[in-house]
Amino acid sequence: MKLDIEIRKFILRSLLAAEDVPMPNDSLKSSIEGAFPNVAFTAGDLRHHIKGAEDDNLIDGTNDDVSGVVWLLTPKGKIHAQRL
Amino acid sequence: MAKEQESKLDAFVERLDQWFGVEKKTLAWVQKQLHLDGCDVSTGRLSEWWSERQSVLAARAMLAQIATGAKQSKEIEAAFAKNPAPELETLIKLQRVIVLQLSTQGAANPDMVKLADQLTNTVISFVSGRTKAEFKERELRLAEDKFQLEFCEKILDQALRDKAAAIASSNLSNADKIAAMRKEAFKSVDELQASGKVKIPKV
Repeated sequence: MKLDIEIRKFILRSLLAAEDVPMPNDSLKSSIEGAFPNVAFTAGDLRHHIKGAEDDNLIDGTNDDVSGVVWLLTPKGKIHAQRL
Repeated sequence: MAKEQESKLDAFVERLDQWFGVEKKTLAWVQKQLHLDGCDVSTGRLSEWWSERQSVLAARAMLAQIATGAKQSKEIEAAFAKNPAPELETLIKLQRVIVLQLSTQGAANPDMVKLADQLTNTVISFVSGRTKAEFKERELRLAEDKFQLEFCEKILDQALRDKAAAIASSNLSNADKIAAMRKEAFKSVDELQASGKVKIPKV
C-alpha cells in the first residue's frame, strides 16, 4: 500500500517535472521503473498504477498520431503534484 | 521513492552516500564506523535505510532527467516555431542525436536503450506512414487527371458528332459535305499547322 502511494506520487511529480510537455506512455513507464530500481514491475503493474491515477482524474491520456498515448496532469493532478 | 521520514541516520547522509554509493563498503563496515561516531544501529536497519535512500536518489535522478528532457523539447518546439517546418532529413538528424544521447545514458541504465529503440521505431513508423500517404495521394491525383481527360474527350467526341450530323443533313453536295466534315474533324491539326509550330511532311 505504501509503495502504491509512493508510485502515485512519483507519477504526479514526473508529469509536473515535464512542465506541460506531454509524456509518452512508454517514457512514463520507463521512468517509474527507473525510479524504483528495487521493484520488479510487470507490464500489468505499470498499467495498473497509471490507470489508477487516470481513474482518480489526476492525469489525462490522449492518443497522439506520432507518439501514441501521451500523458498530462489534469488541473486536479497539478494541484496535488504541486503540494508534494 | 521511499517516504522521507526522520531517522538518526539522516545526520550521516553524505557519508553514508559516499560509503555505500561510491566506496561500496559492507553493512558491517559502515555499522562499525557509525559506532565509532556514537551512532549505534543494526545492520538490518542500515540495509533498510540504504534501500530507501537508493529509491530517493533514483527518483530524483529520474525527475531531473525528465525536467531536462522537457526543457530540450520546449527549446526544439520554439526553434521550429521560429523557422519554417523542418524537412524530414532535419528530423532524422535530430532523432539520431537523441538516440545517441539515450544510448549513451543506456550504459548506466538499460531502460534508456529501450527508450532509444522505441524512439527509432516511432520515427520509422512515421516515415513509412508518410510515404504510404504520399503514394496514395499521388494515385488519387493520377486517377483524377485520367477522369478529367476521359470526360473532356467524351465531350469533344459528342460535339464533333453533333457537327457531323448537321453537315450530313445539310443541302451541301456530297463533295462539299466530305470537305466540311474533314475540316471539322481535323480542325485542331489544321490550326496547329497554321501556327507554324509543326510542319507536316509531304508524302
